[in-house]
Amino acid sequence: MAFESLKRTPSSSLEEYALHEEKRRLFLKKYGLGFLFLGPYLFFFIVFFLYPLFKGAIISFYHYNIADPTDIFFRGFQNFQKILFSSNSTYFQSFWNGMKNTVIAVLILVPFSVVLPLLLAALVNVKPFGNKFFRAVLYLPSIFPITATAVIFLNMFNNNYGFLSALFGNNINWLLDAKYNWILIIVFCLWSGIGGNFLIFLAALQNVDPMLKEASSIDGCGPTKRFIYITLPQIKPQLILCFFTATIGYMNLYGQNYMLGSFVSDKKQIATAVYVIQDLMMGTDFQVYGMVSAMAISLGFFIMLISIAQLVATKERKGGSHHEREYLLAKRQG
Amino acid sequence: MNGNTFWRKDRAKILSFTILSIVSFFVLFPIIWAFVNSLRDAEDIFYYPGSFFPTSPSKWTFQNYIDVFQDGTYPVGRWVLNSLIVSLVSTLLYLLIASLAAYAFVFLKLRFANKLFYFLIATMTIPGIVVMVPQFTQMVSLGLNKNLWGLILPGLGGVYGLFLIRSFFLSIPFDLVESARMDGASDIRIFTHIVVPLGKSILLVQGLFGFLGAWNDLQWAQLVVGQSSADMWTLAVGLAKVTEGNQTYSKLGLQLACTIIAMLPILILYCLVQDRIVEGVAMTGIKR
Amino acid sequence: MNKVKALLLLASITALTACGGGEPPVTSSQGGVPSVSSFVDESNDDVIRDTNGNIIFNNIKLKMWSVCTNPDGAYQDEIVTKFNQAYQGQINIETYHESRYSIFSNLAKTVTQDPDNAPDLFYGYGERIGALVSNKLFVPQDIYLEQANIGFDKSYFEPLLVNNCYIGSQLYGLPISVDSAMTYARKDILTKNGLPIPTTYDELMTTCDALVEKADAGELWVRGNDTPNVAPGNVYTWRKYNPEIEGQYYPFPVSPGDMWVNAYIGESAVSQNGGSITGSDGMPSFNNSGAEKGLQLLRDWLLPTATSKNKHALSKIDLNYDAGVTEFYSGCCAFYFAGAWDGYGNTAKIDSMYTAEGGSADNLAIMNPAKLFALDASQSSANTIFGDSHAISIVRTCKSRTERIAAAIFSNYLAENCGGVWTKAGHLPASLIVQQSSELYLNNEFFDKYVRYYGTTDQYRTMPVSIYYDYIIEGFQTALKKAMISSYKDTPVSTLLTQSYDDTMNRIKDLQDL
Repeated sequence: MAFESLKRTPSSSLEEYALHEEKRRLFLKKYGLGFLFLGPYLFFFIVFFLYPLFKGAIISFYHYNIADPTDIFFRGFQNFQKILFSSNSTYFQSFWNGMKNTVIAVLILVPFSVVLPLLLAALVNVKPFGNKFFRAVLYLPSIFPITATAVIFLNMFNNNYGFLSALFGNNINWLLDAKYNWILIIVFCLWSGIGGNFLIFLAALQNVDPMLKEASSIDGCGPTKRFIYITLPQIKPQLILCFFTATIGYMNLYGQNYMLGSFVSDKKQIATAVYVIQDLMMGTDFQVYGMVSAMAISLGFFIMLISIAQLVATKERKGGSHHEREYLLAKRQG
Repeated sequence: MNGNTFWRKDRAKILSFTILSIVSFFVLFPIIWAFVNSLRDAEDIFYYPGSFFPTSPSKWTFQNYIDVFQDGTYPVGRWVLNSLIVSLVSTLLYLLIASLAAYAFVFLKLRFANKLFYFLIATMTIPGIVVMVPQFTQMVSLGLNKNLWGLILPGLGGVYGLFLIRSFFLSIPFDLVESARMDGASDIRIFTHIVVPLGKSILLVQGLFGFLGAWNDLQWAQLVVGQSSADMWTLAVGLAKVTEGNQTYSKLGLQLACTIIAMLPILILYCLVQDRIVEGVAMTGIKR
Repeated sequence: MNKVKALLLLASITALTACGGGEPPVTSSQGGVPSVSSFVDESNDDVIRDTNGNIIFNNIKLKMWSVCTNPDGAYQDEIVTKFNQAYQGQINIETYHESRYSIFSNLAKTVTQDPDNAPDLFYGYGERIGALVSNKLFVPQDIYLEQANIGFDKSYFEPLLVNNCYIGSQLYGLPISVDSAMTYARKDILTKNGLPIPTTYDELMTTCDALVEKADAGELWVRGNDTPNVAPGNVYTWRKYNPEIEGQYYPFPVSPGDMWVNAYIGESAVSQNGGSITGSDGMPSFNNSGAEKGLQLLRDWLLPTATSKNKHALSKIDLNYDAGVTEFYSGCCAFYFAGAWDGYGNTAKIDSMYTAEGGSADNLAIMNPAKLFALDASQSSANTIFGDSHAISIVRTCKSRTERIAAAIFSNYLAENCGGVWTKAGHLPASLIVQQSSELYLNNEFFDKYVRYYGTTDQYRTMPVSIYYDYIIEGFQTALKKAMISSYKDTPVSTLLTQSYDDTMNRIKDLQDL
């Protein structure tokens, strides 16, 4: 740490004094600066997010009636027990059914959500004719709110008059049949969702040092090898970020399957975890609010486990940027 | 460099053009459909839903767009203004505080930095439903649901943007900062003169994302300002009210017009900004 | 940072070990019927009276939330404007409309977290009053009607509708109107082909079979809008339906994805065969034989069997939504379901299509659901129409007594004035006085054009009071949807109903144990 280098045995009281002053100044500088830079953000984070989060978490330990304040009493871990452990409770069954659907959706969606935009960004980065047009078009679906685009898709896949439906033949019922509905949901999620990652990768790819690419191609690297060994490591932070946020985002999948699955007869087949939670809140059964909070926290717990696993798995491979720095240094000196 | 590389470059460009054109077609198709049908007589859509284009030239009309304004019953202009204020203020404020915080995480050697950052990420994993009602209560008790601040302030604690900006600051070489420090520059100066210019592209990206998020936000906005008078609504809330009803898929023309109206400002913003986003930064290494 | 973590940990441990709130209430064995303690008027007694004893209203501003979105919302606002004009300077009502999908949770949140912004009046569904009252959201109407010197006499209202607004001995909502879904028929096509307008289920099946047989034989006369499969013509030209190019003829398309099937037709089919969805104890009751008959009937509609009344399928199976609209106007079907609120649009459309040929009077027939789903038309239950009722209630956040009385006055005004523009959307007034008055109701243009066919309120049935309304209706609708799609065609209807019933009972039990 910064202070270690200052630990010298003082040979006189003046030096001692100077040493202490130095330490104090540096201390203030370090932590004062930290306060200045981090302070504003942390203020908003703690006051407007952490505090309500804490309150919301407390609610999960209560039977909490959102309409009738006299109908609130402490339940301890009962809500969690019902959700996580009591197999004959409808809360258990719907939660785990939702989790199952969610995890399957995430396993399919997340890889595509990272690979597809990356490939598209790489293609656009080649700067073919009209690349500005492509840049705009590929981002365009993300601009629309999904409530609007879902209605468009519903219309195009209606089996009576939607023309996309006619293309695929009359036997496939996209809106009624759960397995086709899931395909529709996945296609819709990718269509409307990859714009953001596309843009991030586009910006990231631009930041890749062109000298490195030139250098490696002189050394005889083909384009694919160049991509894997030079480009990818350079954009590693963005890859991790997109992977991470896509996972969290799709673990919270709700709006898309709520809208596209409106006509499925057995909602259990398209229900994700957040769908189950939102569904509980929709009617006039106001006393389930504590259970709603508990379910959301349980979901959050599982998302956290998955995220930790991801972070640990992606932390180890630091090789890329290391090699790159060594290479640069060596080049400059040589 | 020889002819081989050039040929390869051209081939790459042709290949990428082809693939991108095909992909763009599929991506654009629903949007073109939405645009065309928003200019189509609502009854025509209702009675001939299977037709892509209006069934006859006379069925092209701006009536759907006119209906949104409903002869002045709805203050649509006010909604646009509210959305603009909320989106701009929250985006700019957030960019400022999040980039400062990201700088702190990356370039100030703070002992607790990593642990704090992991804590922040951990809170990202909790679904938003947990905070929704307590945040609403907080807004009410602070009196912030009487004005647009209730829409701006809660978003300033968001972690995603911070995560994004930090990831880009990580790729700025630390040596640049170190050498500037050794030259005697204060951290503020390094921030404004080195880091922000270098990280311009990601700040624009986050700016766009933040603006978009605030512009399209429906659930939170409805909760906070939805029950107030129509003057307080944002564009997303207002347009949702316009199309609310029994069977919204039968009101397709109106809904599509609303969608296009909501989307246009962002499209314009994006077109203006996209060049700078991908301009990128030529990493020239350390100047000696 | 560590301090924050430590604080959090400490606080959570405290919360876990602390005792909060009160004891869980003793579970009542009343099933789904809400029980409320007798009402204690806690409102602020700020009533000022003039020398004659009448109450003075000095610029009272009230806010009403309404579940009616457009177009009904606009009609409602017309009535409110008239009230505001009549009571200028005294009482002013401001309306706010939101759809039923979010309005209830917003109501709860606003009443508890933001009471200053909470509404004073709530215009909603009679079926949901039970749940809202048991959560103490409303205060009674009759008390304040009395104090307003209007009084309340329940004999002025349709008995079933007003009875459902009573929780305990107090009236918690003033019934305003009731509505359902209707069958719209191409009178011109039926007449041209020599078929009568059906009035019972048997007649409907016979007519539909006849239509299909004529179409299969190439002898069915139809006319209407252009369709993609037929060379362009116009709405006046009669043609013979050609199944080879136009596809199989279906006289009466129906889809379980459509709201009117889920909310009105399915339930009508059940009630007309002697079944019920909710029992008088407020608990689900749809695992009875009447429900079985109703769902089987709807399944036979799509998949006729050897024992079903209809020999041919009346509708393509697995239609997604908006079933029948295009076909109805192109002549490719003869009947279709739509909401009562579509009466205005449909009559206007047919009027414009066949202006020269008698318009809607000669070319459009409207039938209400009564007897159309009854296997035995002679039963008393056959002559019933299942519908949704509307009622207006006073919300507990209305703190001043003067305001509550003003709210009661407005509620009464609404009940008395729903015979005019309100019927445009197909709502039948709950007030018997209004119903019987030519001036207030019978002479209005909408009644003349289409509302007269919507039946009378004594035929209407709504769900009995239940605090589990949400779960029960969802459970029933799941069984209904499954009965009408092909994926479950091999599962007997009784099994579907029993599964749904068991599911619903489990959910209710878990809610009670919460």
